[in-house]
Amino acid sequence: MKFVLRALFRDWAAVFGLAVIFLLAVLAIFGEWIAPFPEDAFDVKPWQRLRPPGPEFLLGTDALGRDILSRIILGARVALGIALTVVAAAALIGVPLGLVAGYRDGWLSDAIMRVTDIFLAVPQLVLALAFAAVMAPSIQTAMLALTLTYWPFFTRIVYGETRRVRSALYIDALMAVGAGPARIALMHILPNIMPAIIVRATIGLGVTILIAAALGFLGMGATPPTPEWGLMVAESRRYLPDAWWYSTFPGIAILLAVLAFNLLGDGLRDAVDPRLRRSR
Amino acid sequence: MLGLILNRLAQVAFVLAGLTVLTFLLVRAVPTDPATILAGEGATAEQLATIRERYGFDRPLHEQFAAYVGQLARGDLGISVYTSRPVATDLVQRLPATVELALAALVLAIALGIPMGVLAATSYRRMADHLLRVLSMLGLAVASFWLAIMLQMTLSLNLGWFPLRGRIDTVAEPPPGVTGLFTIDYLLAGQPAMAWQALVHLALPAVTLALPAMATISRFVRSSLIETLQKDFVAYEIAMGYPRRVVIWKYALRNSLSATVTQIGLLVGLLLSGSIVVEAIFSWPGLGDYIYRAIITGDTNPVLSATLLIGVIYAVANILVDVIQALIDPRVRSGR
Repeated sequence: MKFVLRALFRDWAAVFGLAVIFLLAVLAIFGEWIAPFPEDAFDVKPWQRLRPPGPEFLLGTDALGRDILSRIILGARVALGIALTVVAAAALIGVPLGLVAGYRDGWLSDAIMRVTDIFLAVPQLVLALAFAAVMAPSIQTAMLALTLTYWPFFTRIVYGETRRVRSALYIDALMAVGAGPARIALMHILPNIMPAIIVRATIGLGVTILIAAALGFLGMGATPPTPEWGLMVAESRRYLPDAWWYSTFPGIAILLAVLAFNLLGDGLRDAVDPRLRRSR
Repeated sequence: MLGLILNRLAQVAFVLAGLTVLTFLLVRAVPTDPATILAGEGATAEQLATIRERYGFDRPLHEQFAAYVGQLARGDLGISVYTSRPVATDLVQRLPATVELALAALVLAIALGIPMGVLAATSYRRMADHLLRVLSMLGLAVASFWLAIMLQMTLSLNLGWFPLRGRIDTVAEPPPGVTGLFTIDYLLAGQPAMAWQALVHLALPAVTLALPAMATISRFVRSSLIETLQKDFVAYEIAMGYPRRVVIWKYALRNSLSATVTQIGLLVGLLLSGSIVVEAIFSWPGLGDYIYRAIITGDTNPVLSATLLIGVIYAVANILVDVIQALIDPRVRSGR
């Protein structure tokens, strides 16, 4: 663990990612106290609509006169909330399935992996859109659609890793002393494959923020007046090119958040897998 | 080789059958009543009953599924409520636009991504490598809908260099359909000016779509080339006095590409899902734009059929990857 952390902190990109994630977390938790106009999540102030960036509104105001900086800050909770919920739920579904499929042989294992293949047969955004399309658009629908389309990624990685660990000699030894399959899988295999799961989850957080924003942009996720970054970009399209700040800043927020999780994920993978360290 | 292809085809057939079940369950088993979606808001109970009977929503689920599969087998994908035409006709008509866009993006991504990867690998841990790493990380993290809007804002609306949307000007006459790819069809029809117009329309959507793919290619080429460059045969060739350029581009790169080719399936996925957002923004009349319009109008038939079609394209692409890999890597061909 100490070794992994030391390797991680030598990687400037991962440290940058970690710093941005820390900032996002602070904004997500304390957003109401940090945002200059916390009431702008819902308020409408038509007398100050579409003001360009200036001393009063650092990033300008939107078509309803709301401060964009405040809405970006308040949007951090929406983005992180969606991402954490989706990745946690997907891991809760995907990891046990992958463990079972990887540890056991036979029809159950085959069935799990074939179902996983079916879910992976279409790109995630396409499948999530299809799910979201048959339900009424809302953040909850989007989260459900994202969870239903993200768990197979966990199943596949856990399956592969479990197969790899299962053939180790110490597993044979455990079986010889009479440890049951549940005990071996949960207490001995799971801790060994945890790094792979954590790396996948970190990258998954970035992917989920990106796809959730795309769903919001396409009108299949958050609904107005939620301060959701993708939705903000969608709302801004009608006011181009004059209100350039309206589209630009929410998009930069998405870019930074996704970049941060990708950089940390890359750094973590290099830190836990020394084989890859040289080539990344 | 034939065995490999047959084996993969069987797997794909299974996956597609599963996808059919999944999309079917999606429409029929969700708690929302499909009849209410079809009838729209404010429909009377009588209208609902008529729709239920006409579409067979009142029959048991397995009977409905059998009917659905029967329809699919006949190539009947239902009617689109939005265009009021058969979905199959719409899909066939819109596929070439997406193919043209995706091909343009793929060519761009390969033409830029491979040299970028090579440059990064050969300047490993030096300035160019760091800059390219930042560039590719940005390419993967950027939301394509935002990038598309930024390009529209600066290059179309402010500078007027590129058209805002569409495949050609609205007043222009489409070319006689040969390949369905406008740039090529105009050239075949001897209209170079129109081919140029089509190309200019293609530029921004293709660049937007290409960026994540380019970043992916450059990352894979970089990491596999770095590994290859440490191999003994490279040291031997350099010691033999071969020019560095030849060693890298001819010998080392070819050995690294095999690992990159496996990622083409991933790229096709990126391009297909990116096309929904990109086509919707640039009003590019392809599959993605069709799915988008169907989604916002609550038109489920086109959404599910297009999802199935994308599954088919994705599966075919992955089989092609296996075949290409077998062709360039003899170890795969002989089953290792």
